Amino acid sequence: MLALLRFEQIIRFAPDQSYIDFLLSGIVAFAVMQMGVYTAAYSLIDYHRQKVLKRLAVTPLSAARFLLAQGFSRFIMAMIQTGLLIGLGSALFVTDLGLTAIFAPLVILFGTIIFLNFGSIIASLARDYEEAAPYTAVAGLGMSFFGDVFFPAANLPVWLQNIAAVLPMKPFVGLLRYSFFGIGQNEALMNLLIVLGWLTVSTLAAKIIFSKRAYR
Amino acid sequence: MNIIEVKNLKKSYRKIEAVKGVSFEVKQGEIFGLLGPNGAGKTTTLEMLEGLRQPSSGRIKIFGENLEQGLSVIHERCGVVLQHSGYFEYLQLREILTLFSSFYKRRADIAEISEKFELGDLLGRTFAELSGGQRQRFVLAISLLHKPDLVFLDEPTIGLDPAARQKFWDILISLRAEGLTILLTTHYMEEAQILSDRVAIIDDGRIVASGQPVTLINSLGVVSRIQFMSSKPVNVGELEALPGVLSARRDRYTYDLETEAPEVSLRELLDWEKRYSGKIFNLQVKQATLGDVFLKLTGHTLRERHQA
Repeated sequence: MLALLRFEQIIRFAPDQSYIDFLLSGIVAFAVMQMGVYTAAYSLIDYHRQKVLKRLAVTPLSAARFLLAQGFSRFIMAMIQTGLLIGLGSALFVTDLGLTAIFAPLVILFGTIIFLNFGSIIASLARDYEEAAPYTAVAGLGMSFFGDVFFPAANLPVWLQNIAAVLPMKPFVGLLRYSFFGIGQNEALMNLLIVLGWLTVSTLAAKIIFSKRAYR
Repeated sequence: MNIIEVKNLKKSYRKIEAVKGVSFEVKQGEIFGLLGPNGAGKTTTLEMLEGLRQPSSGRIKIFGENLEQGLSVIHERCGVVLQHSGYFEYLQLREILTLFSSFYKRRADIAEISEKFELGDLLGRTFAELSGGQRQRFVLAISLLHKPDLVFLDEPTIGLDPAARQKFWDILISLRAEGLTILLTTHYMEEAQILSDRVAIIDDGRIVASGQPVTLINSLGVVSRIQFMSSKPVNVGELEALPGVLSARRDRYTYDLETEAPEVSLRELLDWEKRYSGKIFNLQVKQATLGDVFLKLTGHTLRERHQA
């Protein structure tokens, strides 16, 4: 029976990386994305429906400062989460962190803010969980599958690779891999530029949409 | 000195005109009441003043500043009790008070505020664990945390039992005595009459009358009403023909006579009852109220509007 089966490696990796290094960074990025897109969207919808945001909107606390506070608290959670994941992964699978790991908190901060912005935009556009579900599914699952998270995007058709390259997940994971394990040095600068671009655009969009539609 | 100046304020939602050109002023240290039925445009007007809604047209000045330019300053100096508002459900009252206090430059002592509003024993509870009266005391306390100069109260006693409502009124009267300016919306005419130094009666997005409650009532020329219920339907024309009766109307099961000479009309009504085949009960003689002013000006009662 076994003779009928043939195993073949279909996932290609760069020569300087193992699947564990690849997956560990992917899981950290996935966790950061999930906390931003899913958790933020649903908790902000709750705050909106419970009229907490309306009550805050008649205080001197601006929408931007409220989002900043949300981002900061989520960043602390993301750092704890990352520490646990990397600590556990390193202990179980013997991976070596590079010196560049000192940049990881900054990268995680960028990712936390970008995905929180996605979550706050979804919370501003959707009136309830049911309406938010398709938005979060498209944003979250789309980025996870095509974002170099569980398997390399290099295995995808070229047109999907082109889309994945400009979405925030792939460059974010790329920067994490570079900072944790020193993988992908050549693309690091381009990844940083794309992440900073998303950071700027999503922050502006979230501030405008959240102020106009949810924070009132 | 005017704390609030509102000029020709309008708000439309697509084809619906919710507020149709409202103008009024609120003076320093007074309680100003916006009285009207549900859907009259009171909350929309108030939310435009609080910066929660963008007016379609018109001008709002608070503390002499245009609202659009000075919103952050206005929020710093105003307290707000919304008709419906929520607080972080997992936080205790003490934590919510500390959090909200951190938003303002001017801060009151939380212990002092808690004592004043009898919240001392409740500080360890969450907002969801409070009764209706306790909730309203808490939302008023939180709106006064930063020692504001002006407070907006949107239907603050809705859903409260009479005792809790009375207690809330006592607090508002003591706040006015401390010099606080209060803008209050309500659909309870009794509340507006007892608390307000001046009122604006609002109906269908327009102010139909404004002034001191006593002046508005006296301007009607109606001094009393006689109300009763009847065991059988009564021809309203018969009641109108009684001496001293200016008008008669039926409101569900109650007959309502407007009279300028209550002692004459009452005697005539009792004589009429002897000839009448049914019985009248729940007979009451009442002074005219703001509700009568509303009825006179709009042709319907606050309750009729509410039902419509």
